[in-house]
Amino acid sequence: MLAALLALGGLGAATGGALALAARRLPPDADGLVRRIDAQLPQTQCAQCGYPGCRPYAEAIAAGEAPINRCPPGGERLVTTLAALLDRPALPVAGAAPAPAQVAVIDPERCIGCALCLPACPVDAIVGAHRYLHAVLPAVCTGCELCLSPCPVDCITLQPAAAPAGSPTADVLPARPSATGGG
Amino acid sequence: MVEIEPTPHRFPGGLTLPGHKAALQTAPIEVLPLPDELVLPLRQHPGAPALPLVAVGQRVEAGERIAAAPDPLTADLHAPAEATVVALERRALIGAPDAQGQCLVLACAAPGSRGEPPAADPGAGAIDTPAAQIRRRLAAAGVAGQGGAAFPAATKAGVASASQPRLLILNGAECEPYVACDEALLRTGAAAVLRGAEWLRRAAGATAGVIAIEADKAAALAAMAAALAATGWTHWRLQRLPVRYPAGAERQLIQLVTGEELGAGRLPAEAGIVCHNVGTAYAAWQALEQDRAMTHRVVTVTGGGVARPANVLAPIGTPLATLIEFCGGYTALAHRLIVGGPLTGVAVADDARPITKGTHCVLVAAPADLSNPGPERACIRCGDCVAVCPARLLPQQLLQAARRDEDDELARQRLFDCIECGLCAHVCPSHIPLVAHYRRAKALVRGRQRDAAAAAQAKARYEARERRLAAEAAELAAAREARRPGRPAAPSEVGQAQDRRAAIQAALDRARARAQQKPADAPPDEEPPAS
Ligand code: SF4
Ligand code: SF4
Ligand code: SF4
Ligand code: SF4
Repeated sequence: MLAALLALGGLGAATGGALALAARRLPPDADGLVRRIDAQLPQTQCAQCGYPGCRPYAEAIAAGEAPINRCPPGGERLVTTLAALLDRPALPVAGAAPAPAQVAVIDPERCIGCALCLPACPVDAIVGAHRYLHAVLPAVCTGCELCLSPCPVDCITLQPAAAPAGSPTADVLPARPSATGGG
Repeated sequence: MVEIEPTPHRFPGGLTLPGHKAALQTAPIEVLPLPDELVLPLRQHPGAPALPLVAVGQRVEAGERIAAAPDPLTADLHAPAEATVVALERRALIGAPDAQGQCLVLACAAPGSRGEPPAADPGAGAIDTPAAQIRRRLAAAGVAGQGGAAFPAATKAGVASASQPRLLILNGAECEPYVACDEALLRTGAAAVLRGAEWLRRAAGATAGVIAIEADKAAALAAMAAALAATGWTHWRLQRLPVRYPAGAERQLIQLVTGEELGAGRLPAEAGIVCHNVGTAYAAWQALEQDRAMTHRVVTVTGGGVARPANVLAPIGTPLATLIEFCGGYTALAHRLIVGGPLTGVAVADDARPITKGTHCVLVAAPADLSNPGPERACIRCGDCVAVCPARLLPQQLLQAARRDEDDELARQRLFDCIECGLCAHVCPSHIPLVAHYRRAKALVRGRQRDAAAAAQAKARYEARERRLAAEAAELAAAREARRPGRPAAPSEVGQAQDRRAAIQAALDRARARAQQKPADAPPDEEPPAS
């Protein structure tokens, strides 16, 4: 009980410190700005932007420390939105083109239960424990690929995410010929 | 004799279209000989794919359940005939050219044999089973809406029963040109359809029922009037609808029957109404009175591109090619393969794809069968599309919004109120495939909504993890702080530390004692950790 109270106190102190720090580094209203930027980011938490997640990248953008084109999953659409939001010029996206939705899959034949992938996952999508078979929760995985490199036996692969229930494909053919279509 | 009431109500927009189905309005239902192979997609319903219950190589009986619904938006699947499961694999499906999905592939034990034609004797027993029990039996038989979306009938009845509906409408409008399968069932099996509708009415707990049939289906109206007279049921009425497309669309049907226009976003259940399709009622009758699962359905195979148009009773999972071959094959005019009617159907790229529970029509279109063909030109703002839209939308404005693909503008133009009736595209003098644009826009908006929901979830989980890591770090720091030498310890901490030290010492002693008892050659308790 007491230990828990102490821990809570410690947490309060830690967050308080972090907030104080943030307040010092960022202009006034920065928190609102960070939140507005973060709301646009894809939340893949893949760290491809060079920051350890979307929120840290949003903070760096708000502080004027990072360009707005560093998020490959967000792609062009995100750059356009951020450019409008921040009144900055739109830049071409740095890095890979956005990939279609994918999820990590652990090969149950090869997983040795080392638990090395557990701390790598930014959204706690992997369940498992030492020397027990691990599995990825497909509904939660963002496909960020961060769990791939820690695995010592390379048993994690990324596979296309299953199409969600009841979704038609985006390109439904017109039921008759059009000027561009064949026939 | 039962009176056939003309409805006094109308709906906005709409159009009277040439039917193109005279020949099929007198022809009998033909029974398809069993194909060699049936391909049953696991996803035929709005919900998640059904879960297969059989293994490759397994023998299945006719009517045996082969896949189970994982949620209430999906229905169970049953084997249409005695067969061997030969594969569980991805196959091309009806939809976009690249539409694919997991399918159970069955090799029929007796290909070429004829299933039973629709039963002649509809029975006459009392229909007084409790509603919940009827719904269970509908679910067990995999009965789903045959009008297109294949919504499970048991779920629809269950949802409706919660709001104590006043009316069940049996939808016999079949307003789209070329399509004639519901009418064929009404003409040849009106009594069975009526009993099925009564089962569905009880399942939903609706107090009364209306059978609504378009005025151009005289034989169907007469057959239903006779069937109704034979039962003597007074809680059912028979209504004649004006011949005006889309009279059979759910909202328009409700307005025609009750005069009530459901506002945007208002569900039929909220107005105390539940609608079922004629084919669904027939399947409900088969499920409850013949103990047969929904493994077959009547499909209209028609158009100038097929030699001998017909209404065909076919097993679910029949490839389109088999149906077309049964109807004499393609003619030289065959131009485009459409599943569904000419206004609402989707073009498919090849005929290897199987029919599902919701497939009511296969239109092998000759050029003349296509709705409003011609090269697409720019919108001339003639307003013809506005005049026909039954949902009171501004289709040309909606088109601009769909092309720009902006969520706000699409919402302002009420994209999701569009019922995809296809009339705007049908009348457009510039031959713009408007409804194709709307379908695409809906899919894109839904995709973005899903992405936003996934992002919100990822954000919440990421933040929760950050909090957890911070808490763990703080705890560690506090522990380190407590251990630091030279810091005057609070009395309670001293006590705690002493307790802990004593506990550790006791554990060590126990371990030592255990080690001494054990023979020297015993294997170690634990293997070394993997890392
Ligand atoms: S690259 Fe984009 S999605 Fe990935 S962590 Fe950075 S902001 Fe988030
Ligand atoms: S399971 Fe792997 S790919 Fe999926 S979110 Fe976690 S770390 Fe990223
Ligand atoms: S397809 Fe949609 S927009 Fe076009 S007429 Fe029908 S309801 Fe109106
Ligand atoms: S009918 Fe066609 S041309 Fe006329 S206003 Fe509508 S979209 Fe434009």
